[in-house]
Amino acid sequence: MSQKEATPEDILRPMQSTGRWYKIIFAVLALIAVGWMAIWGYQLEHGLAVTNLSDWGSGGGVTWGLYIGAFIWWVGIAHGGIIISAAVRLFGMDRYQPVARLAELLTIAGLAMAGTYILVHMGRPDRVVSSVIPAYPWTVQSSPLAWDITVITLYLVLTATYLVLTLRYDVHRLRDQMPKKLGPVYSIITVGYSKKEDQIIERMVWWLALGIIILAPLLLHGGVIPWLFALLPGMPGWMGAIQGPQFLSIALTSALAGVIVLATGLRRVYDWDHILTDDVIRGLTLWLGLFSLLFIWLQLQSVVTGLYAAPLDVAAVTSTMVTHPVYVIAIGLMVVVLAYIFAQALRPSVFTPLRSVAIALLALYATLTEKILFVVEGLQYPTFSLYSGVPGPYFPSWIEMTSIAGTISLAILIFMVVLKVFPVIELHAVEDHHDHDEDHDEEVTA
Amino acid sequence: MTWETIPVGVWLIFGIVGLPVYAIFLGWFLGKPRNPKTSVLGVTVFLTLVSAVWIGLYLTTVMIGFIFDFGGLA
Repeated sequence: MSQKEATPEDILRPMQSTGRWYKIIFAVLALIAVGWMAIWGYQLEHGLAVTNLSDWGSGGGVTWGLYIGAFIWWVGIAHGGIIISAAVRLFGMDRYQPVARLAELLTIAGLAMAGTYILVHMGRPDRVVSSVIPAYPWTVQSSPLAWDITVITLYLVLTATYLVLTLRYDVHRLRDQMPKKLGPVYSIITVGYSKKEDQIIERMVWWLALGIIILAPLLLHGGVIPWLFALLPGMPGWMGAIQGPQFLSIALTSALAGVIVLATGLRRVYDWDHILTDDVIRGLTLWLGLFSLLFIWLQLQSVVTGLYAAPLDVAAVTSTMVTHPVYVIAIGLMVVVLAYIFAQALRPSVFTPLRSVAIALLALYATLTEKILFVVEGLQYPTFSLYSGVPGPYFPSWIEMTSIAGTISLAILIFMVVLKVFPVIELHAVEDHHDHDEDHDEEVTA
Repeated sequence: MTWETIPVGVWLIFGIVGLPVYAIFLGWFLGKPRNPKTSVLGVTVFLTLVSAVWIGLYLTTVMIGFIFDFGGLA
């Protein structure tokens, strides 16, 4: 239940004052991000040889490791935006409107970090654009990498278009109370604005939500990203049609977990309990439960078909996977996540926002490590033992590991900057905000 | 056979992946209520952002190449 009525002043608060803790956290995160960039600089200076990914002469033949696993994870997290936007715009689930823009920003930050990982994994990042663009008419014909770049670009740009179009309404009405020094930015966003366009823009963003809900889950994380792996018949850990649904279930799990952490964190910092209500956080937690269940179920499909009378190469990689501590811990954590969500569904008093954040963090850890293991074991257990003479197993170097802290810091910094530029909660959400006491949980559990 | 004459990536990207994008633009221009000026604004935002992403990336990579001097043409 809301304690008080939400007002536009609530959503403007982050722009109107900057507390001591904001500055401290910003400084610490900036330090981590800059520190990691310096480490990346060291890698650029000396080449990928400083990681365990440089060639097939080390690390058990693994040339795609933590960097590509983290790339997939970030793209997965980026799916939060469209899930929430689709819930609000397409399915009329207005109670999620307060988290819609937060989730869209998470999409942009997530995709930016995913793109960063592509740059980081390249020996010659200076050649990315000059090699991709001129060759595109040929590479698009047969290269899953070219398909990947196409769909990620579309997802990023369509989400940003969605954000810009919905911002026009808010900025026009709140501009007098927003930072004066950012006036030129607001002028660009609201160029040519008239109130007559509101209804038309609302229809346009409905079409955007419809397009993106097909593009991002079904064709990106359930399409071109798993196809980077699933189309390679020589890698039994990667090959197969199950990868699309499996990638998608993991993406949706991490996306909901990301939205829960973000929404609950901001609610605490800005006293937004009456906007990002318990009801909203609990609803998001139930959705997390549904996607976690799909995650576990699709893992079960892989494990059972991979162990019961499977071809030898599939059996080898599956039996290694299910006994690997990283996999056991990841699946164990997902069981804990599911157990909590089931318990709070049965007994609402078990729910607290803090507990939801805790299990969301467990889900984020589990999805990240599962994805890294997937990439690594796929390479370590090919059908033909091409790398049997390659010394040692792969283990991420400290340089690779620091990239996780670096990109998470960068993503949070993006949010901290955006908080000062425009409202991260849609004005519509506080204009129309009503407490929904009816039992919406049926939407999730039905 | 279509499969042999049209490469897989062409029909996949422009025939399937493109469908939701075409639907968005058709919805913008043909749906009601509509105003061509607002629809054009949407397309302009879309194209500006595509350019911003790729030009921004290009400038970043040129800067990386400049700083680290890889010793070859970008």
